[in-house]
Amino acid sequence: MRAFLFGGSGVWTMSESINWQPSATQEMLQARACLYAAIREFFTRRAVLEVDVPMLNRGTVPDLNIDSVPVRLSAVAGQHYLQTSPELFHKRLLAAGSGPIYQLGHVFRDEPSGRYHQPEFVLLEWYRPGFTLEGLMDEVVALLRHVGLERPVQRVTYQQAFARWVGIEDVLHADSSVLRAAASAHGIDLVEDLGEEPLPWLHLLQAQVLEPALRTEGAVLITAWPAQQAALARLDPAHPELALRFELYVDGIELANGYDELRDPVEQRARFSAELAQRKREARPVNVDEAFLDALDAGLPACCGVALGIDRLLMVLTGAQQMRDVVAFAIAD
Amino acid sequence: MATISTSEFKSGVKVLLDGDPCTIVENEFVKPGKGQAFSRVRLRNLKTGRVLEKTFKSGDSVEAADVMDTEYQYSYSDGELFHFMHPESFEQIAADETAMGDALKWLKGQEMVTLTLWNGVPISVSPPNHVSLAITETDPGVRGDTATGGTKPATLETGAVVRVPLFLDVGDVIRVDTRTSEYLSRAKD
Repeated sequence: MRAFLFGGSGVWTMSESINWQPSATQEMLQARACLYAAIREFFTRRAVLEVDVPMLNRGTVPDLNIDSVPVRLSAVAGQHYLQTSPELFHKRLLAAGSGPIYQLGHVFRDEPSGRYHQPEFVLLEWYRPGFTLEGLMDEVVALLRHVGLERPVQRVTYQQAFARWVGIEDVLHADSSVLRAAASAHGIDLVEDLGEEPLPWLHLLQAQVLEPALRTEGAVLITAWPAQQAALARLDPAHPELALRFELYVDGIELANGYDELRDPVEQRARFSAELAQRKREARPVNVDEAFLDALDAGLPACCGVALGIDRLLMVLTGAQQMRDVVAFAIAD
Repeated sequence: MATISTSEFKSGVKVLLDGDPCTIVENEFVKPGKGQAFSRVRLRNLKTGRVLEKTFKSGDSVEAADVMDTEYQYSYSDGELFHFMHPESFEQIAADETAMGDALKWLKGQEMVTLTLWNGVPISVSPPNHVSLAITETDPGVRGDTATGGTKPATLETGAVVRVPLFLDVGDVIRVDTRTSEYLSRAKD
């Protein structure tokens, strides 16, 4: 498309223009509006309070695999970050006695766009004080039904998922040689070896073998993740090598991540410190949210929480093949 | 040598892989929400034409390949090498049989072709999408049969063999799609 632009010389010049039109169709905009209305109805009926916390924060999560978008304001001193999830603010609300809360809002991650990725996307996040992880998974399934997703639901452990779909019997104790052999057997041709730590191999097999295998499995809830992948989940007191965390896949698309939330401020600080130390070694430091840690000191009520990707849910509901088709304006490649 | 990081990967970017120049056909970003990010990349080896799939860890980088496509005019073959001339600079360049590949069977001389140069050396030759060539050998034409849709093999002046409608004869000039080896029409002279 050609368009006239007003050039610096004060004359109109011809230039390649950016397509100004939305990347989603009118029908898709309507489908999104219906989905939002259904979600709000679901939580209103269950007396979960809608909240709207800031996107800007002075600190962020140091998670090694999630990069925040740093922001500098000229009018306010100090480093800020666009939030990768409302989690830190939500936990401060919970510690302040908010009771059950949910939010439907935009979050940001410094990563490329792709079929299932946009650096800015919409997350539905909610917290349930007093719920068990099982109870929260039941509520996730109820929400899926409420918005019209009728897939059969399976619940499997991480260990079972890798045995069934990746072909590794005891993934919790598999070393890098076992995982490397599995990757190779599944035809993954790595340009550079991932080394002797099991973790990157587990992520590789999850993304390249497990996810494609789940495309024909409907909705799958994967529970009992290795403690090393606990993120902000509590470890299972009965099995400390496992984290009380679940992930929801629908048609092989990762839709949601839920935790029985870590409340112990000492353990939370230790996890952040380890991540911050690694980030320092990799020269990509961030500031953590000290107010969040202070809130844990004050006391987070026992609760479970989950974050669900709304753009991906909309893809599943409408059969859209690309995330750019479900967002009003996709980021330019 | 310039390097290219996975964040710069997109269709058409040329990289060196195991010493061979490749063009990226497709790059898919894959990442578990709480996990390591990867780039799943489909590449075409520009020397062999083979398409391969490779996985890069996000942030990995790879050497850029100095590859560019340039229009040249095919001049002649000396029996061993194929010679081309740049239409403006008149610079001469020669390609070997491997680089010439299948293009040979469509070229008579004087056509404009696209040379893919790696470090200035031709590694592949793309003929025009459509060429007009005379039939040198085929079964006698069935006059008037323009409707039955039957075909027969015909050898063209460059040696290529394509399937043509039954009514065509030796000496007829036809247009062919070089990408599919399909007959398109009689050439209008």
